[in-house]
Amino acid sequence: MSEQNPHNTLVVDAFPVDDQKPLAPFAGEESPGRLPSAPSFLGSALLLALSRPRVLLFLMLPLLLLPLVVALPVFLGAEPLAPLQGNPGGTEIDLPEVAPSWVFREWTRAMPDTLPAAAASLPPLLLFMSLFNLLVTGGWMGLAVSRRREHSLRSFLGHGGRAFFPFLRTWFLGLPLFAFVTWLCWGAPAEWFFGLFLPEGDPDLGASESTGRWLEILRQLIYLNALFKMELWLDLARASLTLGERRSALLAMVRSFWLFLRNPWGIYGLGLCGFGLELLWIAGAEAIRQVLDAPLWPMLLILPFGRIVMRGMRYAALARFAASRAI
Amino acid sequence: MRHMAVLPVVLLLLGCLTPNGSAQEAVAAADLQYEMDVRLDEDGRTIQADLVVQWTNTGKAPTSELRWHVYNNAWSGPQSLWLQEARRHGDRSQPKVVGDTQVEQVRMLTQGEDLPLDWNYQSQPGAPLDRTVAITPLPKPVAPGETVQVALRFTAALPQAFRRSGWGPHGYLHAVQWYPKLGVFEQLDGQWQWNCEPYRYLTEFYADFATYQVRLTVPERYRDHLVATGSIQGDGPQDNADGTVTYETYAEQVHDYAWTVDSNALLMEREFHAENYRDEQQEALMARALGKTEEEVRPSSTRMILLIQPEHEGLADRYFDAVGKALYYYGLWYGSYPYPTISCVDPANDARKTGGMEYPRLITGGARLGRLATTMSPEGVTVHELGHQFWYGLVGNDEFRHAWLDEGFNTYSTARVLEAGWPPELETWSVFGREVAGRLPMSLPSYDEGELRSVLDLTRWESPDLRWIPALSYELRHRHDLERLFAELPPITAFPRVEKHRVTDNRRVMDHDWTEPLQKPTMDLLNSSMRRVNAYRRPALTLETMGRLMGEERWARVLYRYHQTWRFKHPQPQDFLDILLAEGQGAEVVGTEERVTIDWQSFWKHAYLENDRLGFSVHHLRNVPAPAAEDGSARFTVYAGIRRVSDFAVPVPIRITWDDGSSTTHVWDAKTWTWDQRFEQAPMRAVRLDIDPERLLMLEDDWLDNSLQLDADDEISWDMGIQVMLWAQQVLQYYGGSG
Repeated sequence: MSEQNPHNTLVVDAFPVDDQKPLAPFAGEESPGRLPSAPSFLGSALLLALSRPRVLLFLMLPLLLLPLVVALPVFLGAEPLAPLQGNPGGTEIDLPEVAPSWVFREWTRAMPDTLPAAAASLPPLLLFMSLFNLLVTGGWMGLAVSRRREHSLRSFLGHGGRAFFPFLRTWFLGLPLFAFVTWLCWGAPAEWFFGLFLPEGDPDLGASESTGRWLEILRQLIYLNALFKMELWLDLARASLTLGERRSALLAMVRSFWLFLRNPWGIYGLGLCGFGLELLWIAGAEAIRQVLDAPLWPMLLILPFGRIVMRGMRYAALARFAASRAI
Repeated sequence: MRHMAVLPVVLLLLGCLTPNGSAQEAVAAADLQYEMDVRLDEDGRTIQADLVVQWTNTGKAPTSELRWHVYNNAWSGPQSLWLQEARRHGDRSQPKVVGDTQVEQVRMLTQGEDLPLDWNYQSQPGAPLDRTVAITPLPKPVAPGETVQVALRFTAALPQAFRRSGWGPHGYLHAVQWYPKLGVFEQLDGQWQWNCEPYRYLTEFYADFATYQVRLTVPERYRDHLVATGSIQGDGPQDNADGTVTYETYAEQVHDYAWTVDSNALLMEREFHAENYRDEQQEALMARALGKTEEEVRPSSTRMILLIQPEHEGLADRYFDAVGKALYYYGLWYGSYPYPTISCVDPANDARKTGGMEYPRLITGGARLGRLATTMSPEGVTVHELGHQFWYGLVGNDEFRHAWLDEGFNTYSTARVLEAGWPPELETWSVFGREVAGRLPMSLPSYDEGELRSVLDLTRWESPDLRWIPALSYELRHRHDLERLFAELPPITAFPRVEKHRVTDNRRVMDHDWTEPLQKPTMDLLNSSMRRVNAYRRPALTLETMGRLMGEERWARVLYRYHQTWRFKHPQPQDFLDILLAEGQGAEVVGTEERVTIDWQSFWKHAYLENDRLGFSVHHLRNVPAPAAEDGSARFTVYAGIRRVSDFAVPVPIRITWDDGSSTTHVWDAKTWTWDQRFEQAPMRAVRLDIDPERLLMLEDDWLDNSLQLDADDEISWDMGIQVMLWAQQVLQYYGGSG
């Protein structure tokens, strides 16, 4: 008790603010045997994401600034193209709708270094975004399972910051797994499988072109599905780390793998629904733009905003799902 | 043999019946005749044949030998010159199953004699064991005008489909360059000698026009599954007691003989009639240019035969349409296709390497499922190969030395046919093996195995060899079409409609180094890249530039006259130049007030003999306020300047556009290095300066510096920038969630 005037002393916090254990509703309050469905998790997670506008705005920044690294050289380098649009002897140039391909070829030849350099700046940005996303994941998951209703950007970054290095360990653990899946689908096992249907596994040696095409389509579908499941597994591991403030990424991977095995359709369905909603946002935005015949530049804001919300929704939903299963 | 006596009469009649009214000169084909009894083994890969060749010395000097091409031996093993040169050029491909021709017997049959002859392969520098040229010494010289008859017995095992020739494992055989074939006895470097080069990596084929009478005996399964250079005589094949069938075929005035069988393919036939493809504008142009009626210039009919894979049956109409349009336009521009049939083969999937090639009266196309109609597959390759019937097939240039005389002319012509006959191609991206129209604004860079940078884009893990940890190299993610769909969102981020125009598309050759002049013999070029430059698009652009400078009618006459003059003969580049100079005399570049005559000798010197690139660039356009006119209206002094940036001087039109929208066109002869003009007391400002606004000079090196617009808006910059930004944003968003 403070020695100051008791009437001037106000106890503001009767709860231990550092307690990050799962929120009570997700630790057994629900009726045993009747767990919330994927849409339910997604719905509550969507509300969570939408009700954090400061977080959303902050997350928009990288997606508005980083692409400029690629786009600015292109913008500045396109200046020599300006007179082409008025060329009376030329083909119609009405970008972005229609243009002759020679415009791009002449431009590439006149500026042989600019465009490749702009493209070459993208890979390190991809790596940055992948790592930055660990912080984002930690933020959303932390908010989702926190006992307190936290809306501030500070809370988000706090959760993300605390989770970053444990999540980074899962990121590294994921690398050999991705390599393994890629090897399965594009390496010797795939060649063996192709060899069952095609001479030497070469589509150009098959009696029919269709065989090779269908095998290739199948491979791409299987591969993309495998990558998706890998991402879900890694995200579940991160949720596991978040829930118990755990540090061991390896154990988290084991736990989440076990959870995935026990709830394959629930988790897969949740992930697919979340992904599907994101695609719906993208397609819907484009459809509306086409109908209104609107310019392209508003999409620079609409698309990332929606996708950030959807991604936050997916992470939050996964975290709550994991919490509901007491992982 | 009794057919031989009938041949000259038949040929004479054929000459009289040639459509378009063009006179056919005495055909050299009567001087060379091939008669063959051919048997295809049950395996569908080995050919046994008896060949009788009758050759007349049409030269002006005697010869004591015959020289033969045995092209099939290029696939007999790594010792061949072709495969050695391929390796030197960085091409390490080898036939999976080799090809080989063994000549078992050579006899001279002349004047009732039957003498055995030697068969000696000519060793080549660097490839002493090469067997693609054989020499048969004759017991006595063959004088000019004399005839010799030689019989061969040989067995040709064809390779598994490799470099235009061979078989597929499931019943397809494309028999090309399968028989020993005489070289050409002609004047080379001032001397009468055999022009019979070995089969080299950078060259194709060259032989004399001849008559071919070929009896093809094939297994029963190939009944109604055969196409050949020769017309099938009678109602169909003859049945044999051993279960095989024999086709009697006949072809004249051709310089090669190819045939294809495929037990799985469908055989279709249609008639070509010019009335189904009429282009009134082009017919009117040709009629005016040649002083004929439109009916006279219209090509004559012929029969189209298609051997097509069952899974491509849906493309049959497109194949026929492509063949038909090519027959129409080539026939219109150069003279009718003179043969009764044209066969088109859609190669089997397991023998795609035989696709995209031409032989007299037989071509191979190639198609893939999932292509958009606008990507001209199979139209592009079909038109091009059909075009070779005219350039190479009828005008039989020496492909060893002057491949551009067929490939360049044909690339030029193909582009014009595709532009005339179809809407523009569209650039595409693909997913699930299907093409969708659109062009992504940028591509993600890709890195090879071993490049440490590949870690940055998460596609590979590469780490160097450290003391305690060995070097690691693993693929982490494999980029593929389906992932690209989700990562780059091409339905939104791609430019939806980017049109490729075939004629302009030939300018892609500007991206390459022009190391050597066009006059350099093809077989001596530095590498295969130079061959692609010097044989195909560069001469095509040169021809296109000539044509635009010369004007449509005059140019139409040049090409028509060149083709008609050299049909069934072997032209040299000088022969084309002679016609160019004769018809091109007086051609001018015309401006508002000026006219400048084109010096074609100079053009030829720069474009063909030397290695000059053509280039002009805008230097300046300025408006300086001048003292007002008497009525008080504003006046300007306008300064306009242009530079010539290379030695290649050719008259060039220059357009100045004024701020009221009007324009004036000047012509500069480009004999100096700069064009520097001052327009005094101009009543308005100049707003734009264009060099060659109508794009006559397709050889111009850089179009971007050919125009200057004052106060140009930056709309195109914004469009490009926003598109790239949107694309990059989606890529970052997608890959930001990976790992």
